Amino acid sequence: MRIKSIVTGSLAALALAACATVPAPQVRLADSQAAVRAAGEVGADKVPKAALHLQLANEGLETAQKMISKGQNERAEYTLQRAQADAELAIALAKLEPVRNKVLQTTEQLEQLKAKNVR
Amino acid sequence: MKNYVKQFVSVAACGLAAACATTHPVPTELADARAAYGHATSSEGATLAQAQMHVAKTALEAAEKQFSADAENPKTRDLAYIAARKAELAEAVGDMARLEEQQKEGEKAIGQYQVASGEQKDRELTSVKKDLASAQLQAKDALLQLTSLRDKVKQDERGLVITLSGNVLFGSNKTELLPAARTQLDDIVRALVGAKDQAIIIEGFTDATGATERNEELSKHRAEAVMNYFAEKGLALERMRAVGRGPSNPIADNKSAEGRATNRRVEIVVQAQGAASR
Repeated sequence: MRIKSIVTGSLAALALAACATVPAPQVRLADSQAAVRAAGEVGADKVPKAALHLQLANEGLETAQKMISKGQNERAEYTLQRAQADAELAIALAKLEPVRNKVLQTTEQLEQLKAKNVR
Repeated sequence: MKNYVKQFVSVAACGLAAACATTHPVPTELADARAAYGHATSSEGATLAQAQMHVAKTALEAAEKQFSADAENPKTRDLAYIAARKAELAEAVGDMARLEEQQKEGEKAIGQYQVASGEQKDRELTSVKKDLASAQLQAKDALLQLTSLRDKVKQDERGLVITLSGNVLFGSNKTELLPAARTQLDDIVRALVGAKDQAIIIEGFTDATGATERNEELSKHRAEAVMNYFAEKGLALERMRAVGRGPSNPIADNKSAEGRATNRRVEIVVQAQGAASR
């Protein structure tokens, strides 16, 4: 029994020590914040699917910052990676929308020209 | 003996871990990541985003590895979530590349149509030259005038049609010719004065805004203004006729401002002999 409690106590101490040695993910935080800002700048909030991922990214940032303040640095690191992935996707989706619209317009114009040519 | 026991314990532990991994339910995030990756790799733009596809594949592999090692660890769900986003990003990158290619092809095709249309106009002008010669016009001067109005001239079943923008000829809702309109009309008078035996119909058109009756009246007055100007400049009044068509026969979509401006026009029709009229 005594040996068991010594072992359990040692393991717990080791785990705490491991957590404490993981530094706060400041670089990842800065990168994620930059990605979220970039998403806002390309108008991700105006494209429905991009806006969803921008919102998820913002929520992830907020959650990660709370985790950092509680010393949960490893969890914060992964939460920030998620946020950054969401922000990068939001950027791509926002940039895709005007290109898609332009292609639709060009296709319509071409159809009109073809129809005119047949007449 | 101790070694055998050690080996037995390790093998048993690996077996247990493998059994745990296979019996653990797949987290939603990992199922989504697998589906997203499958979708991305089978999308039309997949071959155009190979670098991004590779990043997505690596991310999925990391998630699968984590799932096999420790299915219950929150890290598994995190890595799977990230893998799903990477796959969606890869697909978006592929779509972008594919759409950009499509846009280039579309613009090239439009350019070809426009060149062909210009060539068609040249052919129409050539045909008009023959008609005018046979109608005993002062060929050389008349042709030079029409060439300067190239973009406004076409040939149809009615004869030679010269289309002038209503915005250039008249102020908004007005029937008096603008001073700037006279220069263009003078060019046309010079081209037409030699065509003594050909009837000229001047047709006014409006856009679809407002009451039809009012638009027909407005377009008629405008056509008459042009006809009277031509008469002042020497064209025989008895060979001309002014007609108000109102919003009928639109040549553009009245839903846009640009379309409405295009529809507000005057058409000067130099009738070919025996030509149909509206």
